Amino acid sequence: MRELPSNPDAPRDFESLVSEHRRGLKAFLLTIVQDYHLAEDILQESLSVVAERWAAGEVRDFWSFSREVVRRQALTAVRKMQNQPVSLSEEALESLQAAFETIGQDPDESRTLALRGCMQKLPHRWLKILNLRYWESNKINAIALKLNIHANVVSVTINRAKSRLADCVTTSLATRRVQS
Amino acid sequence: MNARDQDEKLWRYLGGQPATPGFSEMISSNPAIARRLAELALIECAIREQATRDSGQKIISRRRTVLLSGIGAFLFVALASVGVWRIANQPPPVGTPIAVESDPETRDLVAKIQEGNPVKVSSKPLKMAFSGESTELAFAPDSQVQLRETPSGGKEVQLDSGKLNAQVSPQKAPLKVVTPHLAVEVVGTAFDVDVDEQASRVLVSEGIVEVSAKGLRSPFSLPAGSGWRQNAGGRGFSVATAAFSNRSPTINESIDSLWSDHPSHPNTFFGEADSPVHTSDADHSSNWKALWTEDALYVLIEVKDSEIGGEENAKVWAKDSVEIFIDADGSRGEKFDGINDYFLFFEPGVAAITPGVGAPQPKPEMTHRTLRTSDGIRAVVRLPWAALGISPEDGMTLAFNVASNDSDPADGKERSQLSWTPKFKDDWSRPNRMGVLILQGPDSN
Repeated sequence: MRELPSNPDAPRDFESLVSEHRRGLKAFLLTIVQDYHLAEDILQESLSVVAERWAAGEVRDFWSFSREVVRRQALTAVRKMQNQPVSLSEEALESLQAAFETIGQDPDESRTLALRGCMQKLPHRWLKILNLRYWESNKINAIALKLNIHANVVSVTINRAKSRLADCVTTSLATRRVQS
Repeated sequence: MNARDQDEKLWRYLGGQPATPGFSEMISSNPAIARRLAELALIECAIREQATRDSGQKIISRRRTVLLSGIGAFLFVALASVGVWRIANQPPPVGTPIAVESDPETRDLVAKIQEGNPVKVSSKPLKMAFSGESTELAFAPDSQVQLRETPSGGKEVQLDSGKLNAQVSPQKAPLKVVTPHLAVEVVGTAFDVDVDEQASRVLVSEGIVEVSAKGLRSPFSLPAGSGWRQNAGGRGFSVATAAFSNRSPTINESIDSLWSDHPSHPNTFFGEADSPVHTSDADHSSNWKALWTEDALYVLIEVKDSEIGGEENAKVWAKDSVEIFIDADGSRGEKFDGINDYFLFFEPGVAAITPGVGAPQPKPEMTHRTLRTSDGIRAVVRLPWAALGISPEDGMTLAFNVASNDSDPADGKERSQLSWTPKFKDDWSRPNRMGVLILQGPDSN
């Protein structure tokens, strides 16, 4: 079978743009639908919409266009599935969309690398709790039982650990941008 | 409200707590808080993705632990009856990495690899085998390596930098080698991988390797004698070897039997044309072989073309023809260097070699025999080293490409070009866009 080669000199191809911005779009969805798994599902649907428009040559700015599609799909999905209005006001959504315009632009791979480095700096106990929660998929109560602490302490520790990671990753990405 | 309390509020929102009007107001009126919510959502996604990725890559040591615990009862009885000294003699489970050499440094590195840890090979090469099979992986000094088990139970080698020579015996699940620029999968073969910051290159010496890379639309099968170089910037190049021969092939009406010992390289990519007219492999397909002697480089190009056409076109590239690009010293400049970069067209039944636009005139010593066959075109080309201005040696790399042009019908309006290496508009004049031909031998022939 013959094939047309993939041209790196051509304007960015769809797959690489998706790969670069997938997490930013998913995070934006998460802030609207407040459910990680639902955000993943809606992201798939949204990207198929973007793909169609991309193929038709209607997309000039992938990042802006995708954010708008994601937002509309999320609002539709939440209204349909929960039969209730979205929690955030229209103005708050606008504000969030603006926030993602800049910080969501860092390629996913840079954020992943930064995250790995930042995790090494967490206190051992925090890392252990994060591992139990996300890597071993334990529920909060199960972790509390295992570690013989109150469930609320587990929740708060997880949130503090993630906040610490967010600070560290943000600083790390900013440093890299300055250095480059 | 301090930053910690604010974050807690944002986390509770992301966890599903409905937003009050006051919360919405806080987000819409304060861009810094909106930005913080975005940061927290991003970190939540990053953590979950990382956890999902890691859980799909169970380390080999875990598999070993499970296997050991599964036969734990048996071992207990056995140890009790035959004595503790036998512990050390228990063979590790099949597929467990083992050190080929028994010095403490090698054993320590392999132990770390067994645990799934990333390691940096020291100044001494590291040879690693696997129990119960004849697979052997040899890493060059300073290579950065990590070994994992894939979800299907195969081995996955992450090579972040350095060199790997792999001799892989038949595997139940494909063995994968992943570099920052490409990934290859094999079930039983021999190949080399070189990685540095700019590019990764795989070169197959036995069997077939499947490569995935940014420069390829889909996984691509590489047979023995071929390879792929993937640059970090996205551009990918075909790679092939040309083996040394003590005897020169004859250049006449038939194909010298000598060629049967040399691997064939298909011209897989559509070159140059935006809308190639290509109906089937019978309509147009082509491949080539190369070998070298002390005196010259020889190239055999075979084209399948079901219809003679394009006679009304004046330009040779718009007719049925074949072409070779060669930058003999592999200097890979942005344009023809006027020294040893040649772009040569060969037309059936025409003795003269036509140079490409802007390329140097071919030297008189360069000869060819290009003719129509019952189903296409065949060309045998001889390019003397003296005419190319280089002295060949084992391991030398040349920038190289082969392409075939099919033009149908007589007016030549239905055309396609097939190229060995990916070739885009205007690449024909750019040596740095050509594939890589590696001379092998005489020792490695």
